[in-house]
Amino acid sequence: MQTLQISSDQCSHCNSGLLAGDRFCETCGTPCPSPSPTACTHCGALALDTEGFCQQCGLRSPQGDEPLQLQLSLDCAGLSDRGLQRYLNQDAIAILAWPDTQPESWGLVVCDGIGSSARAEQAAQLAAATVGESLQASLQASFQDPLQKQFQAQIMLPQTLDSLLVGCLGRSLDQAQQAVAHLAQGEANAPATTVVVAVIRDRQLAVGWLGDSRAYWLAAQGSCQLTQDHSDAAHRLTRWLGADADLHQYPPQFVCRELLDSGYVLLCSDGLWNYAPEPEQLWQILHPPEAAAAAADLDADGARDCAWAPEPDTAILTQRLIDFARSQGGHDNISAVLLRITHQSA
Amino acid sequence: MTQTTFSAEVFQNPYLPEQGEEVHAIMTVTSSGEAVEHPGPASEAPLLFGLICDVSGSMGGAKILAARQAMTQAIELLPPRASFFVILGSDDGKVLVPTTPASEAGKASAIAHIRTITAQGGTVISSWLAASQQEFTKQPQAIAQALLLTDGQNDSSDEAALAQVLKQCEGQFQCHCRGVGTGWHVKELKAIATALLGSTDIIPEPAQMVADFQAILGQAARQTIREIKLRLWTPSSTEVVYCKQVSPEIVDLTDKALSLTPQSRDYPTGAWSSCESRDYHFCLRVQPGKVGDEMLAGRASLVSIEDGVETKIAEAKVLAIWTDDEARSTKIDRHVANATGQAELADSIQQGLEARERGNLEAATAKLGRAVQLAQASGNEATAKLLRQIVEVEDAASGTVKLRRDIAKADAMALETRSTKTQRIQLSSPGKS
Repeated sequence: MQTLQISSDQCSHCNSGLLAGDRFCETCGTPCPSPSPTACTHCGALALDTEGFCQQCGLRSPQGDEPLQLQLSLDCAGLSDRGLQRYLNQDAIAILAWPDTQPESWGLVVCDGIGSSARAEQAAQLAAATVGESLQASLQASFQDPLQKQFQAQIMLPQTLDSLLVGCLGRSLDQAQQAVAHLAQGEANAPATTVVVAVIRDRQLAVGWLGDSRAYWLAAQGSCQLTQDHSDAAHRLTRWLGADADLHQYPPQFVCRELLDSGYVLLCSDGLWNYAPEPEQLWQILHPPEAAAAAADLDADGARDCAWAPEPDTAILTQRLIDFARSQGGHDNISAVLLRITHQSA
Repeated sequence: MTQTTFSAEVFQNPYLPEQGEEVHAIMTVTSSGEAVEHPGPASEAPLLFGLICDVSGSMGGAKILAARQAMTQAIELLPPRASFFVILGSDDGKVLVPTTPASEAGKASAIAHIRTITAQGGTVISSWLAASQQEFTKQPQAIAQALLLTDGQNDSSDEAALAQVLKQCEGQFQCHCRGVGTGWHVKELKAIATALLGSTDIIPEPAQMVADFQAILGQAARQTIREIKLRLWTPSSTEVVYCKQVSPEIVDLTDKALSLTPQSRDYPTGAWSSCESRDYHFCLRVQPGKVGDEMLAGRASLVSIEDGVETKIAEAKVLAIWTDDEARSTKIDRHVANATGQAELADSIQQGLEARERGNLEAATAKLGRAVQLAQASGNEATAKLLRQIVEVEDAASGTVKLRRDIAKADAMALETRSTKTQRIQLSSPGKS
């Protein structure tokens, strides 16, 4: 089984994922190497706190210039970037895979720590990690279930699979809620984050979310937005994860879909979709018209097939999405997780 | 038993215009207690309460009778965890009851002694405080609180000695001051109470003494945390212009700073109960940054000290962000605006009463009119009510007032004493954006 990738850091002893700011590995207790000291970009003092404020001159230096990049295969990649204006990256992403199981299964997570809350980056990282760990365990268990035979024989009805996936998503969000609520220290602006999570099993897609991080289906045959933002007309969030969230009154929403065409599942934070809210706009970024036209010229008869292949690496495509948001101002953190679905018969 | 948790929240508009260098922030500190079945060690500090009673000649008659009664009641109200002592003040400070546990027997014996008090001699407050400090050294771990009752002015020859004794007592115990009648000096008692982190008030009639003492004792009995310091860190180029408590009462702490390093200093806040809330106003002068720069202009933490061990119990940050967006930088946070308004209210009353003393009725009317206007605008009904004893209000909104002709001295003194009591604004719940 492949190791869950939460951040680029792993414990040197047991290879468990580490969160930014961890001083000890949560699994085996091995001390983490202290990050190399970064100098204040204003006065040069080696005295930056975790948020990038200099303990000498007080001015803030940008943190986390290295974007977080995840890739499990050519078909699945994620990229999270600080953007151009924010001093911290308070988004978090995670990708899961169960490569030993057939048919292929994937899990994707994007969390956007809420800027007005305390320690939002911790909230986002913890939510992404908890959702990921919960899904890893619960879906692995269900794959090994006697039901797995049904999976493999493909005799399970799509509705049954949907309810199984949604059940796993719901439990993972409940666990993330408990974990993030636990970060609160009695402050009025308790750590809080949005979350959008998708699991893909064969052709079935299930998405769960709280807040305004989105999931899209992007395809030549028609793209759409899968989620509806939990926010009001003034862009104030109406649902989120955190100590001051009430998941009974404001529960997560779920959507299921059968993926019959080739295309992409995209999860992203508002740092991206603010600049391209319409699914067609995002599709255009992945497949610029000039590239499609050039492909079509090559072989007019097989235009659709040619436009589709050869497919670029999804890591290149996520970079293209992030570059687009940066070119538009990059005022917020930008995160995108992309999974390509290919159907031979499409 | 209760376990107390503290929270700190900062209200400010962090946005500064280009070249802007003055940062204002209000920090609200709230303590809340939760009953616990198995209390941790020392979650409630012992209490040592000192009663300091003026027994100079002028206290004779109704005042000394009322004082005896009020002190008797106060002692009866002491909780079992407390100890207490009684100092009689005249030309010197005499220990009537040395530090005694507040047991039934201890209380009964002290009350028997109090019945024998008579009034004679002068008023030398420095000697009373010095005697009290001696008693407080007997229980250095206890919450140290005193109540000083007097009816007259301190002997003029005691000025230098009093200043010196106050310096020695600062941080050793807290002292609430009460003036009975109108023969005492507001500024004098306020100076003592301010130095010793206590309150000041007037007791116009001896008969009101019992109720007032009860209130002070009730408050002292609720205090369970001996000492909390407000530690303010600032960047190297930042200057603290002032640090004031602004609610429930204005207390300027700026000069009480104890410097730890060039970048951090402690302000004393005294003892706390497990259910109260205070506001602090920081004004910091920072080195202006470039547009787009963000600065941590200050980090305020609360540090509790128990048996010499410091524990950080809450923290809040003050930020500065430079912007060329005027809509952002010109906005004044309403908590800051309220604190500034309450400070102006207190100043206006002070200046108005001083002008009236000097006979400058025009200036007095203008200042007190402004005070009426500010009290009305901020909803400070308690101060507005006191002001109405001094001025006839024609239109509060515009501050149009007339000075009353026959003002009772007690009313003017009450206004002067209580002018620093402030009104808070209602806190709204934070949003997510």
